[in-house]
Amino acid sequence: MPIFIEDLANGITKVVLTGRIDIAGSAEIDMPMSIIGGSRQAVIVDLSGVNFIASLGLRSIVLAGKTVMRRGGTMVLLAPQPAVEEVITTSGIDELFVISRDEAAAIAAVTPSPG
Amino acid sequence: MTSVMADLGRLYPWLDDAAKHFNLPPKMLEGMHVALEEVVMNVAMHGYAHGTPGEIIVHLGTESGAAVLRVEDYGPPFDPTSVQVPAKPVSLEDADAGGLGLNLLRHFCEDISYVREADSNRLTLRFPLEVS
Repeated sequence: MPIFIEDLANGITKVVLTGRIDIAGSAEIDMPMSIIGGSRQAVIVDLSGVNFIASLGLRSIVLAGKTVMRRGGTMVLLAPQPAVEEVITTSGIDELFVISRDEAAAIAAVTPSPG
Repeated sequence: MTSVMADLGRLYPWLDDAAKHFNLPPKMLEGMHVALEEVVMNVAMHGYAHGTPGEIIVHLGTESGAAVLRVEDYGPPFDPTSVQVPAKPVSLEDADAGGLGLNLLRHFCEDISYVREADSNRLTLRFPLEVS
């Protein structure tokens, strides 16, 4: 399964995607991602272990992110490999989500500022 | 292969083998993977969407300084080169998640040509072998 969900402190959810999010991989992450979109508030999508993604896989992430944000939450992308980042940048997804380089930055980005 | 999911999984091992045969640079192969997935998904989701799975024929070759991927299907006429490239989404609400594919296809392959021949769509993707 190319998706693993980990609960961090302070209600933050880390979604770790791995391997090839191609046609088959997208089919596997689609349902879990939509559940996350509908139920979590602060989501970090760890892409460091992903070596391929195209529009189908991005679609799952964007739809989940849209749902999270509509519910007032935040989703950030963590540490995509260069080839994956090129796909993200080309599709314009980098204008929709913050891309964090390390986990500390990602946690800061999804943590609501006090007050 | 056919447009059913299980069959589409054969695409990438095949492409990797074929690319090895032609000794294609890894960077080009990365772009090919993305371009091929976008083309084949278009066929599987639109061309053969309503009805029985159809045949998709994929061919990799080289000619005059370029690697050439040819994808043929027998769905209704569809010319992806004639479709207006959607603008990059400016907000999350604008992002038509399904419309991202053509942007990716054109980024990773600048030279795409389409012909409708008899009852088939034939798409030719050219990847220049020189480092541009």
